[in-house]
Amino acid sequence: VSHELPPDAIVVRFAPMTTERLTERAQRDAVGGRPRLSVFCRVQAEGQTVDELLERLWAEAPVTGKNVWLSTTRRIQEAGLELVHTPEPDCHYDVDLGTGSLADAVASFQAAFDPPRRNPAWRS
Amino acid sequence: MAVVTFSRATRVRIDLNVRARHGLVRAGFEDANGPLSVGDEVVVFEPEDGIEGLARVQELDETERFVYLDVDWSTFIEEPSEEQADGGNFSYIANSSETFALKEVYGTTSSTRSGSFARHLLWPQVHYALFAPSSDPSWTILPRDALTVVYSYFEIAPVVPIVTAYVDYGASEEGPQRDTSALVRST
Repeated sequence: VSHELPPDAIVVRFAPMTTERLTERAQRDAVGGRPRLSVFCRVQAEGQTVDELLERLWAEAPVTGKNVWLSTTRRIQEAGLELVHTPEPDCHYDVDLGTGSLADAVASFQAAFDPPRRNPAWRS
Repeated sequence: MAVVTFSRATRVRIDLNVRARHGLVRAGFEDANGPLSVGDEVVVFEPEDGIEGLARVQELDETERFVYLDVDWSTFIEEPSEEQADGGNFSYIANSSETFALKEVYGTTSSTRSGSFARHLLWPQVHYALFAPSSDPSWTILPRDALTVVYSYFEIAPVVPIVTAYVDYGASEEGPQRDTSALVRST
């Protein structure tokens, strides 16, 4: 993992998350022929709730969205995928989907995340 | 009196997560539904979340067919539901160099919240007239009977406390068409 993220760092993904859009986006954002998908990563500070982390991310990235999907660096790695640090912003990473089956990699990417939750930082 | 006309803004579908240099959001030319020029204000949207906001085109990469957008994340709102779409218009209204975000409140005078935003449904050839409190001498109120269809909007931005926009559908016979891509600009 680039940029030395600990295994329990929180990986955050906003929409889109459907197979069709992920596949399309990964191909469009490929680097060197390797499809990539964007995420945000942050280490949870001691005593910091996930909601607080998301609030911080909203301001830092910045980013917003109604729904948010959460994972960890460990789960991304266990899915056979690689996180690549791609500032700016500092909290931004790409998930390298490799050179194998894109459909399998996208499915692994989706499976590495919890079901969506309402983004507490969403303001409309 | 400030009479404004609208120009249609290109809508660009984005992935909320994608970032490029300087934090700009990268999208493909194929994600845009209209022309793109550096400096243009566009509406960006994410259809799965059903949200949209404003952005400015910072750079065009004609080789890779990428557009780089400076997204104003504070402008994001939910796209109007079909029910709302049937009810009227949401507008981005620009006066001078500043864009004000308006939100339709269906004829009441209560504002919603600080930093509220805008959307847009238009018929072709819509004309807008902008109004403001009579205490502001730079604005004048038009007679309502000059307008065929009237909606009220309330401006939330701090510069002008309340702006009400009345919408004149003019002679259009095509009926309402959903169009969330329009920006209204002062003339």
